[in-house]
Amino acid sequence: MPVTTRLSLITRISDSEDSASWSEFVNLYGPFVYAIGRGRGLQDADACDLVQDVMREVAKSVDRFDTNPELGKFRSWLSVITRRALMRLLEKRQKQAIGTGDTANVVALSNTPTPEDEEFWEREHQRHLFHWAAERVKGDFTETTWRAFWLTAVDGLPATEAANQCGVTVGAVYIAKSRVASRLREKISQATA
Amino acid sequence: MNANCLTDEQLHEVASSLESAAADASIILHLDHCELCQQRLESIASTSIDGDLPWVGLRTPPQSSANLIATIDQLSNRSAAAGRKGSTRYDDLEPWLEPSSDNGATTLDSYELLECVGRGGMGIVFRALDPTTNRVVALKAMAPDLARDGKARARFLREAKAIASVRHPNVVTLYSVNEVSDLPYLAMEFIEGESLDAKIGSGESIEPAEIARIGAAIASGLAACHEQGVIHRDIKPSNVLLSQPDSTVKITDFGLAAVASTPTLTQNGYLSGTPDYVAPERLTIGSEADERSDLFSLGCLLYAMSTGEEPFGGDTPLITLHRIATERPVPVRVKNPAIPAPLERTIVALMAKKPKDRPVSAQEAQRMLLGNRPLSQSRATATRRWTMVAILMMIGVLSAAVLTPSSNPVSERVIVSTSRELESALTTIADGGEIQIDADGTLAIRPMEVVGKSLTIKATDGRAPQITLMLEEDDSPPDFLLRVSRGGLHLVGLSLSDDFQLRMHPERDENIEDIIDAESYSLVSIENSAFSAKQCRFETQSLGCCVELVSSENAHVSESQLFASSGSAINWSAESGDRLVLDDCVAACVSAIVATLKGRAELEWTESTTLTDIAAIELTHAAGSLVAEVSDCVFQSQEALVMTSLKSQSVSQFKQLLTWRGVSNRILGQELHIADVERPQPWTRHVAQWALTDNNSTYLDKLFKLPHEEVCSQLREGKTAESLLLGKAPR
Repeated sequence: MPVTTRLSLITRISDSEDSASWSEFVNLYGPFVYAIGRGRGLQDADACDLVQDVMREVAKSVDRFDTNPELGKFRSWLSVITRRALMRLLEKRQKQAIGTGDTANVVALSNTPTPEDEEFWEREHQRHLFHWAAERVKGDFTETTWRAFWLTAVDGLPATEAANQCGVTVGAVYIAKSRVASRLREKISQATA
Repeated sequence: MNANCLTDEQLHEVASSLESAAADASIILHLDHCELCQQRLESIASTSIDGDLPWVGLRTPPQSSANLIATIDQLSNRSAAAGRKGSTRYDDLEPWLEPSSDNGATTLDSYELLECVGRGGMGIVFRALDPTTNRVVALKAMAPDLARDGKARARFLREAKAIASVRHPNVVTLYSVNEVSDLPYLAMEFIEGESLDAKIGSGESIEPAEIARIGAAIASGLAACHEQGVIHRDIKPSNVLLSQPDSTVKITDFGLAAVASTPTLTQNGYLSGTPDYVAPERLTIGSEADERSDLFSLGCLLYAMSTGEEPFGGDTPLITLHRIATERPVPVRVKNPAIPAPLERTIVALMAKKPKDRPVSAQEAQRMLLGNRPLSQSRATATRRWTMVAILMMIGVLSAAVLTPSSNPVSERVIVSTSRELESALTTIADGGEIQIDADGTLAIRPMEVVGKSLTIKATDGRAPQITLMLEEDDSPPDFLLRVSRGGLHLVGLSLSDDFQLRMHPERDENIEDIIDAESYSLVSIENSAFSAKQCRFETQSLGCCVELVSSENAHVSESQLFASSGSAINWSAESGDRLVLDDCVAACVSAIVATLKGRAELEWTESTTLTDIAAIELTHAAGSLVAEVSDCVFQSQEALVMTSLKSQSVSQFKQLLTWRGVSNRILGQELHIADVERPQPWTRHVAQWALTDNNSTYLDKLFKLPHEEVCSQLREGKTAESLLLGKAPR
């Protein structure tokens, strides 16, 4: 793997001139925040509000964030911001609901088992990074290579089965898988660095 | 490790090579057999971040919605810093901008840029000063990303020049069309005012008279442009401006939409863009918009003005598209009783699924909106005439049998072996009779309708006849292949299909759009009749369905396959007491059962395998309820097991709507999954929340050995579901 020489994403988005990085950030993490909101039982519109809220918060406080390229640290920072925004939103909804007497929905919301655990965050995060990167690197490979990768790495089939389905040898499947995997990882590590 | 094993360097090189670099044959050969090197290569490819491969089971893309896409779009069009200041970014225009020599203002091709007022997918809009006329204009520069595409650039300029020739009070005037260093831009009338979008979004209801006035003005503007051969293609509230001080209607972005904003599927199957106002005929690949596509969009816009809601608004663009293609929206006056009936009728006419059922022109639409002319009745009846004409043409005098079923009886059983004989038998068969098809291969027939008779059509044992739809060049699009009303239809051992693509003439592709019309087409249409199918295969390529059941008291489908890659297996419009049984069936479709319930209906679904893009059961605009007994089935749905389009129901309302009794099913996903397209999921842990009982069922992350689409296509090719499932069937 090439050693990443790029500035950390956080450093880049705090640079007011670098709007492409901001756009990249929003595209990468907006859907993630949305999924977290939906996972907590928010409806579509509310989850979009949450995205707005979190992104506004990120834009506001990114300057103060101690830039550290370590992924884990950034994620926990984003997680704190998201949780805070989520609480604000839920409180607001609760007040509105009490005002209108329509408490059923809010009760349902807060009773929803909250997938707050790290595992859910981690899984959703992986899902986002993966699909985000997959969309961007897929074009670099032939259909067969991509399929061999997908069958083994995503669908979890054994290499022999994938080889059968793609009409290539087992060795070729391993090569395809390793190439796409390397490329995806490179893409992801660049984006999240 | 033996002497033949690959070195670390070789493995690194293999893993990091690009696609094009062909690996050495000896390396592949070695990797074919050496498990050690296979493992080493795996670990080399995965050392970079967290060790093992973390992607297994991540097949489902993250949830998205039109709303989210819009939010992300809006957010990403601001830089973090700009987000704080509230300005709009346009730094990608930098190469074209110059400081003016006179006063230090920024200019683009001599226009002084005063303020950036917006940025869309297609362009960046400034308030600007035209130095030669000293006039304030709206200057719209094509997005540099798009301008790099020579074809898009040419199209932008060509369309713009056509619009420039239109002078109309309801169309934003285009002063000039130019290009500077390969960047096209337009100088237009600058409108001070708000967009219709903002007016609708403000939440205040709009007076019916005002709705009609705005609608008529848009129609008038459209008429002027259609006269010049310009189609708007993207009529929606944000493209209609209400100028100050008198709220004059101004249509903007004329014709330019063609360059960028057609909703498109990206590689991974995500939709980009908001398709809320797109006409159904434009959903067909390769279709061209015409004047009447704009009229459909106008109807949707009037609907939104009347109700405050988009007519087909779905949780995701894909759902919206599916609904545009297949559903009628909730009537305007149900949502807003203040709308007068004639206005509602006009909206319904504009939103007709088939272009030919809409008003003939924008002028006609304008007249209707102004109330000068009642809605013409002739078009509504025209569509139904088709079948009768076909039958009369084919068999001349015998067609009387269709109209007067009790006359002209023939023998109880007719054996046929050609298309012509089958058509003839369908017309002459006596009530209670049986047609036996003694042929293999394809029998292409015209659409046939049987009224007031009960009949059986079956294949001779050992034969495999395939009945398919035949259309002549001049045929108008049919609504069905076979329809039985007020009688009964029983099918045994038949294959029924349509193959529109093959039978259409390429130069008449507008016909394909008509035929794949989503709203009403079905392979088999059953009205007020009993229906059964055993060992049959149905496959439609349309956006319609395999079987349409309307007020059919008893329908029984067993040992059959239903394929509808763009539509549904069964569209079921059920009255109280209607019963549908599906036993030992395989279905692969967008949604399997789309039910409109008028009373308490019953569904029994057993030992079947169902793969759907949206849902196994879709409940639309239901006034009734459904009791579903589902056992020993396999469900793989990409959206939800059950989806409803009911709004604002409470838990108790929902329980009244659906009684689910499930036993021993295998279901993709964490739990029995119910989604409401209006009030979206996730309502996780539905079993508990809705107290739905699904006993002894298993919820799996993976049901099949292959990806979803692959399973569907292998099923279509005749593979059994069992052979594709992981593990044993649950029964």
